[in-house]
Amino acid sequence: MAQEYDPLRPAPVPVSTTPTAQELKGAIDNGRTGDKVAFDDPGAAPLGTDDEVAGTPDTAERVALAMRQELKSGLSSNSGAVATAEDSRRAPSAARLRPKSPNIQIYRPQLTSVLSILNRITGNILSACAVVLVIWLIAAATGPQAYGLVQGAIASWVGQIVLFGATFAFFLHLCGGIRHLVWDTVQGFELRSIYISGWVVVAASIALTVAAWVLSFLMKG
Amino acid sequence: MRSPLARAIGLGSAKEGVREWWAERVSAVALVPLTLWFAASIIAHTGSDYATFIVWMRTPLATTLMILLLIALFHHTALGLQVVIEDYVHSGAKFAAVMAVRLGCFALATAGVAATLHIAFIG
Repeated sequence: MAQEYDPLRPAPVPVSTTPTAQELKGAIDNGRTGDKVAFDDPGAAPLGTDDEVAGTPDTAERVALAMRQELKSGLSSNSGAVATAEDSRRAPSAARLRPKSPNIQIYRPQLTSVLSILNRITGNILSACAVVLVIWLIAAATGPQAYGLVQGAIASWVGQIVLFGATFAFFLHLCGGIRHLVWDTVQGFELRSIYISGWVVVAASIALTVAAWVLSFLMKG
Repeated sequence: MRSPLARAIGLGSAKEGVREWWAERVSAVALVPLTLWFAASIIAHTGSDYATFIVWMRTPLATTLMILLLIALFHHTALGLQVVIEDYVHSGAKFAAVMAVRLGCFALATAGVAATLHIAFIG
């Protein structure tokens, strides 16, 4: 059956063993890479072009590598083949694993990213603390025995270590939360400001945790 | 009758969630003074016995602020945990997890308020 002529459809591009960036773009635009639509892909437009403009064009080996990665099945089976309408209409393969961003396994931790995830981690810790708060209130409402039991658990060395950690988590989430509220007013987004506020959050959280425990010890007498 | 452009304007990729986003901020603002009051009160009561603690809890100010703390805290907790679930759970378990968090937070807040009122009015 004759393929219906579509002027918007890119012409089929043959695959060679030493593909050029243009050939790779053609393969992507023809839907041969599976997860792309059979149409001009704006994302592929700068492919090769940027490097050529910069005076460092991709070597044939690098383009061939990119082509192999994109076609996945490898050039050997497709060598010399011409993309057909059947290839173009191939359903995107859901099983294909694409790299995810950000690649946290290889990213260098930064103050910004560490504080970001710590805000989430401390939030989860404080959720558990909220449950303890309710247990503590119920114990207080139940009577002196129940209250004494909970207070005893908190006063144990394990309880004190957990409470110390919870205190730091609380102040870190509090200070980090205030930093977020400031950001919500569209203030302090300059890189320098972000680092200054980040270190202020760290310093204030440590200072407030120490202050809280010193005051508590002073109250105990 | 609305054009596709009119429908699209103002909609981010998530399409909805401004209400939750705003509620998380409002509860956060409420929690700043409430949690600081709670922390200061607990520090002040270090070493206090049960009777002293109950006398303090029965003051109208402590009862009121404790109830406000519980409402703001569990509202904030539910919203925060829901965001975490929506970010990491993509299977059918997401719906069940969000439901469990919502119901759990509502139950815990109610239990906390009931305990506070019990202390205030019954002892």
